This record gives sequence, structure tokens and C-alpha cells, in this order.
Amino acid sequence: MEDQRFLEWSVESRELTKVYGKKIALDHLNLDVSTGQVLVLLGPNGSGKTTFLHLISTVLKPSGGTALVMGYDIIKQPLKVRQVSSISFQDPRGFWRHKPSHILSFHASMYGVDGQERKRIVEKTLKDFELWSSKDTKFMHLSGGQAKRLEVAKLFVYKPKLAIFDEPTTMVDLDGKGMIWDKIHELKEEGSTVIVATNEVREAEYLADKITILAGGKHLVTDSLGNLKDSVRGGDVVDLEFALPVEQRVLELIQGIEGTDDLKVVDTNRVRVRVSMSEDWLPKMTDRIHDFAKVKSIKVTEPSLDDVFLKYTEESRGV
Amino acid sequence: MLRVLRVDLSYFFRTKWLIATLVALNVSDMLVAGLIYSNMMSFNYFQFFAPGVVVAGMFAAALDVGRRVHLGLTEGVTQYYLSLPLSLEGIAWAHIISAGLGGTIYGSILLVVAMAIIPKLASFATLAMLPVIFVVSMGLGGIAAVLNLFSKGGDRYWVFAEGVQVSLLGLSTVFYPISVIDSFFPSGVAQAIVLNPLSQVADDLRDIVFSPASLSLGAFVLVVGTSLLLLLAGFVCYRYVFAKVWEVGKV
Repeated sequence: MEDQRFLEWSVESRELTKVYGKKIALDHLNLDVSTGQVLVLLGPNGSGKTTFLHLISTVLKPSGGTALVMGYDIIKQPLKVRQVSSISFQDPRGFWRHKPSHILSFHASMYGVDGQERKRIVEKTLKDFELWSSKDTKFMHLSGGQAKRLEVAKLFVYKPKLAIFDEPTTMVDLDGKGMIWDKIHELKEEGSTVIVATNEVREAEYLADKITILAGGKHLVTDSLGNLKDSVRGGDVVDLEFALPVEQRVLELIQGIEGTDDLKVVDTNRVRVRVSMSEDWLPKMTDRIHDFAKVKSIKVTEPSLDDVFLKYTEESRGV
Repeated sequence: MLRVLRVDLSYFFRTKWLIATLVALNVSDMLVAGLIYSNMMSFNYFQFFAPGVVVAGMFAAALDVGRRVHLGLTEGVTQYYLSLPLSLEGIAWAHIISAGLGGTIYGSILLVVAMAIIPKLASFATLAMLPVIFVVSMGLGGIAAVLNLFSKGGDRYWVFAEGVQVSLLGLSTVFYPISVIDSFFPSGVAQAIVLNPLSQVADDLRDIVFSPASLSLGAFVLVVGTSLLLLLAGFVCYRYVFAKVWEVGKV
């Protein structure tokens, strides 16, 4: 079952489309996922995140286009795809009358983990995911958070080449979230490619090497967090405090610097400027005004991923 | 496939209290109703009725695979299976074989009780019936697959299952001798009732009790042949159901 090939891209989707009746859930999606990275999918409800994950994990069949997972076609070679990937569903999927240890054991056995090794890894995973005390509780009697942790834990009894998580920390408490995020990082360090769909911006910031934003089934953008933040025009907020009351001439100089988007006088000594890419703007600003004013303090606030998310989703809606 | 089969079958046993209740009901039917009716009829109805209860129990257990698939469809377990290294054919066969094993195990429990109270049943011929019961149970699992297909994963499944259970048991020789059937139904319907696999297994078991000399290979071939047709139809239905879930996310 072990496949030793190395590929630049773990997932290559080409015009991937899913239609339910008249509703287009995913619209000709072209998206490549680099091997060994964590890609986070962000998008509002109904943006197509879950559909995309179900398509590449062969739980759903595309209506059009296709995708290669570790080089295997999801339509022509679904069995091969299933051997190299595994998905943790948004809603926990378990055998209602089985215990967590049986559920993990079954999952491991499906990927050829057998005997003492399976027993050892199931025990370790139950302990890592704080499910050891519930190991004899039937799935149907687990709390929502426990069931979700069990769903995520499945991917750690057999570490797949492509690990897919659909909202891995919904219903999980704060401690649990941190633990799951650390485990996902571990998975990446051990060589898995990871795709995470989430609505939680904090989760995306913590996990992502790259972020893809989807809306209305369409691919809006894929880039690193830093580049996405830089793409928000006027997204950096620079608070300048001057030693003396700021003169009109200084305000005009600042206004004229390339990258200045908006300027607001807070009080006689303080100014708030909205700029694009503060790291380029600040040296220009200090050069331009150093003969006319003495800056006492500078505080830079970067745009949050919320701002990035809103920028792209609002643009897609034509707001 | 074997692992899915094991999980599916273990589900059958995880409802052990339900099964214990059903066995108790079946055995009480066998002992109470059988004995009472026996005194009201001109022949030994008890010996006629006990094999019928074995068949009714086997039927209910084999049909139970449909309930498990129905729950799997509604609870998303089927989608989980689709994410695992399994083929659609493997999942379909696992359920059909699980129905066969469920029916055989449950039927065997009742058969042991029946053998204890009807010594004539405790023979090699009864043991020889076990593979037949296995094949028939897989065929009955095929009926469950058809129900799963037509109920489209919805709650109509329960209505269909109940309807089929009542119809197939009612239109059989499980509880009534063919002479009673002949007097109530036109000859065509009566012929179909005789061909009902439940009738065939019940009649084969009764032959062991009443007329061991009349056991024929032809009877076995007929019941196995009918069941193989049903199980193939069931396999096709389950294959279709799982392919449909892959295509549109539901049946």
C-alpha cells in the first residue's frame, strides 16, 4: 500500500466542478496543493470548501473536470486515491454502538496497520487526543467535542500522505483546539500534505503555509498569509506620534508618499495613516519628513486575516 | 471487505438485548402458540410450526442488514466507507454476506431450540441445511438491498421492510400448510407461494421431521437457485446505491 513516489503537487485540480440539480457547488476549480505544505481553505458557508474536500477524497464524484491526488485520478483511480489520503469529516462519522478504541482500530486496519503495532498506536492516539478515559464509551454516548476529537484522531492512527480535515476544531474546547493544531503541525513535519477547511481565522493563521479563499464555488485567491495581508490596499495602520505639534507641511508630505491611502489627524501631536505595505512605506516616510519633524513613536498594525477575507469575499460579491 | 463484513456483523450482535428479546418471542411462539394450535388441529401442528419459527427468525435477521445500511446512509457511515480503500463492489458484497451470516447465526440459535424439543430435527440432514440457510439469508439480504434502493435512504424504508416482512411471511407456507393456501388462493398465487424461498426452507426442514425419505436434491437446488438470483439482484442494488451516494451524496 505504501507509495514512495514524490510529487511536487499533492493535489492538482483541473476545472473541478460539482453540480447538485441547478446549484453549482464548485465551479471549474483549478487549484494545486504543494506537497508537504498545510493549505487552509477559507470561505463563507456554501463556498464549496466541503464539496472540494469530498471530491478529492473520493466521497463524491465530480460532475465535470477532475483532480489528481498524489498523481492518481479521483475518477479513474479512486481506490489508489483512498490508499494515500484520508479525511476527517465535519460531522463525526462513527459506528454508533462501537467504542472509540474499536473505531480507531478499524480505521487503522483498513490501511494495513495490524497486530501489536495497531494496538500500540490506537492506545497512544487515544491518550494524545484525551480520549483514553472514554475508550469504553460507545460512540453514540460521546459528547460532541469528544466525537469530534475521535474523528480527527482517525488520521493519526495511519498517517496518510494527504490528510484532509474539514473544520477540525468545531465543537472542541480551547485546550483541545491547541492540541489538535499542534498535532496537525506534527503531521506536516512527518511529511504529510495537509488540507484544512475552516471558518476560523485564528485557526487559519496558526496552521497555514498557504491560504485559499473560495466563495460561491469559485477560487478567489491562493497565497501565503503575508502576501494576502499585503494585498489589502491601505490595510496597514501606522500611528505616528510627533515630539511637537504636527505642521500642515508635514501632513502634506506624508499624504504625498507612495502607498499612503488615508490620513487622519488624531490630535495636535498624533496622526493615523492607512498605508499599503508599511515595510516599504516607513523608510520613505522617515526620509521625507526627517528635516521637518521629529517622530517620537511609530506603531504599525497589520491587517488581520479577517480584513483579507472580507476584502476578497466582498469583491467577489461586487460590494 | 472482510473488515467491513466484521463491523457490519458485529453491529448485529451489538443489539444483543434486542436479539435476546426476539429470540424469546420466537421461542415463546414456538412453545406456546405451537402447542395450543397443535391441540386444535388434526395433525401435529407443533412440529409443523417450529421449523416455521426458525425460518421467520432467519428472515428477520437477514433482513436486518437493510436496517444497518439504512442507518449507515442516514448517519454518514456509507460516506466514511467511500473514503476508505474499498471498492463499491467490496462494500456491496460485505453487506450481502453479512446478511447471510446474520440469518444463519440467528436461525441456528432457533434451530438448536427446535432440535431440543423435536428430536427428529437433530439429524445430519438439518446440519446439511445450514449452507442452504446461509445462501437463502444472503438472498433475503438482497431483498433488503432492493428496499434500501426504493426507500432512497428515507424513513420509508421501515414501512417497506415491514410490508415485505408481513407479505413474504403471510404468502408462504411458513405458518400454514399448502392445503390451507390452496383453499384460499388461486392456483397461480399458490404456486408462487410454494416458490417463496421462505416456504422452501420451511418445507425442507419439515421434510426432515415428517418424511426424511422425501428429501430431494431438487428441492435444495431450487431454493439455492432462487436465493442466488435474489442475492445477485441485491448485489446489483447495493452497488447502485453506493454508486449513487458517490455521485450525488445520497441515494
